[in-house]
Amino acid sequence: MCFDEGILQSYLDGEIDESLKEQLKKHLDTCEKCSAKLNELKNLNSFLDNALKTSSIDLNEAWENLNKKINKKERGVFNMFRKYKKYIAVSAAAAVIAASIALPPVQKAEAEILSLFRLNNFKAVAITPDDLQDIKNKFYQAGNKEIDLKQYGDIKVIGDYGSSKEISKNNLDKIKSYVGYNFKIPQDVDNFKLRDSIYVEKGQTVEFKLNVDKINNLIKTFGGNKLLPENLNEKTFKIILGNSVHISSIDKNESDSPKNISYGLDIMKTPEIIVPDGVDIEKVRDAVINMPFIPDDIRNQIASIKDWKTTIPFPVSDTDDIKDVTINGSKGIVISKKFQGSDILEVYSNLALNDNGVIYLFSGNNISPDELIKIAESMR
Amino acid sequence: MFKILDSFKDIFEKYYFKIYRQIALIINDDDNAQDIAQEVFIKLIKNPPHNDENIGGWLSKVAINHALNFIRSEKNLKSREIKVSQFNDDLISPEDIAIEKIEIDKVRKVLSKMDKRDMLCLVLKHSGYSYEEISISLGIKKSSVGATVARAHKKFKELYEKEV
Repeated sequence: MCFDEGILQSYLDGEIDESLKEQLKKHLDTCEKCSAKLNELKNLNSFLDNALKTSSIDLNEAWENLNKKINKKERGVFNMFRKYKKYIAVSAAAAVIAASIALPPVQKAEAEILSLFRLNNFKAVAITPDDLQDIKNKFYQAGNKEIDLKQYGDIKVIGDYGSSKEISKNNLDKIKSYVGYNFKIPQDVDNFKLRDSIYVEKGQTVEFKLNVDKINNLIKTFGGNKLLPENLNEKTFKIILGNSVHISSIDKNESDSPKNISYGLDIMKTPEIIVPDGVDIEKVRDAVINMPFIPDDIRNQIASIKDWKTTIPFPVSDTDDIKDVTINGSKGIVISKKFQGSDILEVYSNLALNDNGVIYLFSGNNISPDELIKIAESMR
Repeated sequence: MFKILDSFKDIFEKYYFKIYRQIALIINDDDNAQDIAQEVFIKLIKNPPHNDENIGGWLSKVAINHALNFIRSEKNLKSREIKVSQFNDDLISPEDIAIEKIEIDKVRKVLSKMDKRDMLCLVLKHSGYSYEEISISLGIKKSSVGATVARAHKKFKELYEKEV
């Protein structure tokens, strides 16, 4: 029995089942007609390969260009907090895995005020590509290739995301009364001028409920034995993200240069997490930290955070430079990264600072950490 | 929905060239193909596919849409007119460059005369996609990809030889 062209073509392209392949090979040894046909297809293949040429490209260069485009679209830098905020709001993963890493538990619902944590401090938690691979491998080994997070909990975001209002920097009092708290702004230092427009955004509340049984089953699948407390089931946790302000500086390098030198600043009240009544938060933390699929080095970093009730762990990559700073008596953290663009070396610096219950997040394009600290110190 | 995926960079390294090549063949413009390929990856970040989708098939599908939109867009029509005039200038440049240019345009012309599905199948195969990815991208059965490729090859050669 002879084989049709489609099968012969699949054979040429290495897209044929092993069993059929053996059969076909045997057949080709004896059948001249099929051999001739295969030869013809082979010639066509190389003819087409030759005709359909495109110029070659530099993959590294393409990767850099892509990163630049993405960074530009994200308003300058990684813009930590915006990203962080979105990551809490959109992904149900936040509720279970990522947030368990990223968010120390939590606080309380309206009437029954039990515990209310204000996240005042920052702590960098380094996550390396190896860690991610490690998590991935653990899931593969346990036969959980895909996880549908919907079954592990519900997440709801209350408030509009992305609706912002523009107010001139000359109306600072108006801005302060709009957001409902007092804050400082940087002065014009080293020729960094603030843009006239300041954006204010209404806050959001993220509510989530966990399906404790399902999560505990998952933990057991991985051989873990620290489980979430049963009474957590269907209880609502809330994360309150208050009204925020976005300020940015004018590009110091005028528009004709490809190198953008500027910074942005996000200001907001420290987020609060409300833990439902009757929840033993120590147990929750214990279970979360000991989730078997969390790589040990991340586990140790999280476990070593002393003031965990008030600390925001910032996920950072292992190629970032991190240092703790004190600015006018307030504690903060600086995260920076050098990045070789196609022709220029770019530097991204981020600075997070908590001053009197207000969080300031600076993100600088091509500004060194020291320059950014100087700008932060000028705030009044 | 959430899936433990390959890192973005892994996906980029695996697929960027395929996507670039696929777009370059469809739009016959290597420079713009790079820009469009980058748009495809930006879309991957902003609106990633659901976890049950095959990533190569999804990327290839998005790339086809972006490439076809590019061809349709008015702006591009204008730049094509400019290209034609540039093409005439090229004739006074070294001969081999001109010949190469004619050759590329000829390929494009032949591709445009083919049945759209056959053409896309050909382009995807020669951009390095697997049969599985092609079948998802074009919505044809995996078992009939081989036959489509063989048919498209023949058709291409036939048209190519007719074209002077």
